Amino acid sequence: MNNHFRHSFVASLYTLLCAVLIFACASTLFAQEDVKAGVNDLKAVYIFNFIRFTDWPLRTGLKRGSDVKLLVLGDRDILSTMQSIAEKKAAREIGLSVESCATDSCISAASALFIGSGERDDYPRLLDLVAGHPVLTISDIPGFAAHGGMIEIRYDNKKLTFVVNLQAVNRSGLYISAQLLQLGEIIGRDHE
Amino acid sequence: MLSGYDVFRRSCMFACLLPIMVATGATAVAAANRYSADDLLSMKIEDLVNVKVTTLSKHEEKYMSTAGAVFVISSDDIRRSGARSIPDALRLAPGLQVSQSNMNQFQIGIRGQTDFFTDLLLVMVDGRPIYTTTFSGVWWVAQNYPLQDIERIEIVRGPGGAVWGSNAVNGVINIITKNSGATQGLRITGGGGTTDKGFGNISFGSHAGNLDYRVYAMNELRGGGLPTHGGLSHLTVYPAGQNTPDFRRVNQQGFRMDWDAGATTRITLHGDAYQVKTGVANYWMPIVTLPVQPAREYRGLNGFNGKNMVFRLEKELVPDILFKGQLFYDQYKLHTQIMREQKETFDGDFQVDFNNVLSQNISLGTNIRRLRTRMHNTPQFQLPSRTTKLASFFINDELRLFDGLFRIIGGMKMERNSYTGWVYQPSARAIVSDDNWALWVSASQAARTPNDMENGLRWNLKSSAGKLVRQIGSGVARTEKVLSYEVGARLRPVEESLIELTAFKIRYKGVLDTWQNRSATNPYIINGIIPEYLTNVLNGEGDGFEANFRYNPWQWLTLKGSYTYLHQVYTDYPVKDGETIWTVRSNKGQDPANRFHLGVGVNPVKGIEFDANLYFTGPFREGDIHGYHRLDMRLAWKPVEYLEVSLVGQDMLQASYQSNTDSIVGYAARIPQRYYAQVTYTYH
Repeated sequence: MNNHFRHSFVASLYTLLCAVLIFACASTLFAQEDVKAGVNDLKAVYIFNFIRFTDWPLRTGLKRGSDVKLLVLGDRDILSTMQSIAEKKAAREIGLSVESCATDSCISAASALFIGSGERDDYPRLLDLVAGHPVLTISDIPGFAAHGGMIEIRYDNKKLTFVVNLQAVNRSGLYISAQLLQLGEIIGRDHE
Repeated sequence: MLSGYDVFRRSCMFACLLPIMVATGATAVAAANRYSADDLLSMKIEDLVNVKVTTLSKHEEKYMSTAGAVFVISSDDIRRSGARSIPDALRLAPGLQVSQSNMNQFQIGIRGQTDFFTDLLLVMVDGRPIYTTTFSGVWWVAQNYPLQDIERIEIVRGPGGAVWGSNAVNGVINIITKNSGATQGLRITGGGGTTDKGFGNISFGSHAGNLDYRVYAMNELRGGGLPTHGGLSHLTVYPAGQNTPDFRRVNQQGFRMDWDAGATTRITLHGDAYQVKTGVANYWMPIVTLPVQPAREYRGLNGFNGKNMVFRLEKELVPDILFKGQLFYDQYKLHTQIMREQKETFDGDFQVDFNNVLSQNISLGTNIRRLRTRMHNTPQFQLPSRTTKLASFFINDELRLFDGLFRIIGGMKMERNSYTGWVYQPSARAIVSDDNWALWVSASQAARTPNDMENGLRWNLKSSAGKLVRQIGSGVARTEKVLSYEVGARLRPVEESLIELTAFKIRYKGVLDTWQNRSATNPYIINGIIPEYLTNVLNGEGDGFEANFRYNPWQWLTLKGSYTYLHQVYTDYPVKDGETIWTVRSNKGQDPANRFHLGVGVNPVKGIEFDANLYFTGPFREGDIHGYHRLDMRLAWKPVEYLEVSLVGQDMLQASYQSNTDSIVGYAARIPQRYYAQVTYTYH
């Protein structure tokens, strides 16, 4: 019985060893890009890029090179990731500051607003609050862009895409660069 | 036929050749990695839209892709369970058998052989083993920490010998305390109840530059249990109408410092000192000279005092090459009616991780340990004072293929101990996994090495039929070898859910236990002594499965549970006589066949938490312990951010019950129903 133990164990090891060899060789044929990103990390970098590719109307004194105040509501992960991004050189260059506040006056004074899924039930009110102000509204809540939000981040087949409601953007007086627009899905074009 | 040497030689070849073979075979595979936020920031927006994402956190991703039966008890789980001790918290894990013979002695095991000694589990606190090589096991009574400062308890079911070394046969438990950066400010906790008479801890954390630190002190007094039923047993030490003497008083103090010394270096220094006193009732042989006297019962005090200091350094030498070094010193003093021991451990552990080398993560490590034991022998219990050494080397290689979908992990640890020389523990694992599912298999060989008692013990234990029973560690014990085969699956049918299933088969060769040689020709017998040798007595097999789930359908509701089935067969080998058959029966009887746990956690409104946990343990000890249910409930209220008040009921289904039988270190007591209240004040 003892030898049986050893035989079966050694056999298992060798089976796995053969498997290693086969798969190691096979891997040369099936090599693929194997790098992923954490979904919240990528969402935060998207938000940063949306801000980077947006120009605020001159009368607000906000344009690239001046301070941009981003409010993050309803998503603690995104908030903390954005806060660490705000400390990086690339973010300091555009004067990005990240906050989370709950008062109406604070919210309408923001230059950009990310509404996380924690505010799913309250986002129409938040959109009303900033309507008419040059506030870039971003969210990952499904249907956000169709319901008056400006940019909606979508999770689709293990990738992140985004939808821009151009009508909402134009109405607020913001300008989003064509370089960004060509990568996303556009709804609410003027001629539509 | 393969000799042991052949097995070792081939296993070594396997371990040594694996990285070379996979390196040559997999040169074209892209490096496995995860983009950091910095990486993503430096990418063009055109490239970002093509980046694949995972919805798992780093921690969850690691969990889903682990080719083994792992489970994590989180800080929140511990708090919400109402557990008052580390063993109580361990009940939350699937596959863990936790019973207590009285209010201060716990028996904790995984997949079988769960007695007081629990010699097949390696237990660590922040990487420092608390498994004692004196008797192979853990003095659970002396293992305490403010539960709020425990970050998580990681449990690996199944062998971990290829990385952790010997005695990680059926599992590894690693208790990980919080980084001091996460415990800044002042926290004061106090409470008391029916059995937990009074407890409290104070913790203060602050920082100076990049150095975070915390200091803490704790004090706990738990009362004894209730006398066991069963007629006249233990009457002399369990007077009617009183609690049994198995109380426990704990004093413990400690500190932790975490220093971010630059972007690539992290240094941690922590230490604890404890003073634990417990009451005990047991039997002993007050007179050990012949003619033999009957054993007598006694009530006494046990003392456990200890201190430890751990220094850890993690440094990224260059990107993807990480060095980890740990040095620790541990000292404990044990004082009981019959055994007085002082043990010091000096340990150095060094590891280098090479990540993303041709699709592989390779870890190399070495460990050296020196254990100095001083015994103050009594006429009843004698063990030599001595110094023993341990040295080991390990290699672990993980190969990722097919976009990280398939991974193979091979590992081997070679370890040299003072009693049986070199021990080899190979392991091979494979896993296919995605974000929402995983399938894995493993085959491992692990070892339980002989302990100090098996090498030099003379314990005049009891009397039997007019003779003195003496436990003898004659040094003939060999390493117990264990082969384990496992297969497991994980599934996340929806987000915020997890279902896991693991099946296992274990083969034990040379289970270490006791054997009474009653042969009339034995010189001891002739002199009126029955020698009870500590040696390899059994072979055995165990199989079974563990299933567990967790589901958060809404943010305010958590459901969780587990079921464990265990089947064991032991055969007495190489000796088969009237005595060994009892060892077979007692080993088989140590664990129930069926266990389950169901838990629910509710946050009906902000600031209110309600939790209920129901545990079932089937009958074991050949029916001496009936199956029992345990229900714990906790209600907590946080009127303001800095204050929490909680009420906890434990073992609420019956007035009292017996959770395990008498053990060799103390009589059993009945576990009473218990209630306590706790208040925590936090100031940041």
